[in-house]
Amino acid sequence: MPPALREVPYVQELQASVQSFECGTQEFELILSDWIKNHECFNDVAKYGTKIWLYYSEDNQLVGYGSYGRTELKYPDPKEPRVVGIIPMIAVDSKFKGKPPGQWQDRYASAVLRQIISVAIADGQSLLSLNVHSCNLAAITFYERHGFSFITKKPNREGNHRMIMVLIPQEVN
Amino acid sequence: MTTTIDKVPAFYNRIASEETVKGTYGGNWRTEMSVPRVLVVYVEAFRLTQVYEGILDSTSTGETKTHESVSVRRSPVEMAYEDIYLSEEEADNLDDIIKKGLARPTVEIPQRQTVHA
Repeated sequence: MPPALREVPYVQELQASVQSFECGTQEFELILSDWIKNHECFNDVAKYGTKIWLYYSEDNQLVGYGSYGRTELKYPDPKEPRVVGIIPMIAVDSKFKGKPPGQWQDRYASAVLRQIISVAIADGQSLLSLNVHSCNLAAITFYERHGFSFITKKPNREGNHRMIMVLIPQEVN
Repeated sequence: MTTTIDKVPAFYNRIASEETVKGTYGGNWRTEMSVPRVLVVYVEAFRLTQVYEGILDSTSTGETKTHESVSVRRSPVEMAYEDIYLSEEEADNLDDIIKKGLARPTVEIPQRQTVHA
C-alpha cells in the first residue's frame, strides 16, 4: 500500500505555503508547479468549479496536489453530452517522485492519484478523463499502470500534443 | 485587444521564439535579449492561461509599451475542460474501451463518502 496522506482542501489562505512546490524542470512540469502557486488555479476554481486538494506526508511535508472537476463530453451523441469527471491538474513534488523505493503502486504519486480517483467515484462518475503532455512519458506510463487508457491525442500549444486518457472508475447504471 | 504587461516575467529565459505577431511587452528584460526579436511573453499574473506573443522592439527603453492585436492562447486546463468533442474514430475508441472494460483501476481505491474533504 502507498504511504498515508493527509488531505487538505486548497484555499487561497494556503497559497503562501505552496510556493516552494516544484515538480520538475520540463516545460510541462513548470506549468504544473506554476498553476498551484499562482492565482490561476483559483480562477479555474471559479470558472469551472474545480476542486483542489493538497496532500501532506505523515511528517507534514507537502507531497503534491490533485484536482477534480466535471465537464461534458460530446459522446456518444453530440446533442446529448455526457457528464464525465476530469483531472485538470495533478502533480507530486520532486522530493517525493519515485519515493518510497519499491513497487510503483506503493509510492506517494500513486497515493495522490488514488485519492482523486476516489473523488470521481464519490461523485458518481463512470468515466474519468485527464490530459497528459505527449512528452511526459513517465506520466503516461504511470497512468497506464493505474488503468487509464489512451483514446486520442489533440494539438497542444507550441506544436506539441496532449494525450487524452480515460479510466472507468466504477460501473454506473 | 490591448493589454499592458506591467511586470517582467521572472522566467523569460525559458520563453520560446515563435511566429511574429503584434503584442505587448514590458521593458526591463530588453537588455537580456537580442533585438528585434520575436517572443512569447508569459505574463506573470496569467502565465498559465494567457500567452502574449509579441515583438521586442529595439527602441525599448524600459517603459511598458503596448501594441494592438495581442494573441491569447488557452491554458492546459481550459483545453482539458473545453475540448470535449470526440471525432467518430475517437468515440469508437472510447466505445471499445468501455465495452471491453479496458480502463479499470488496477489498484485499490480508497473509500470516500463525498467529493468534499
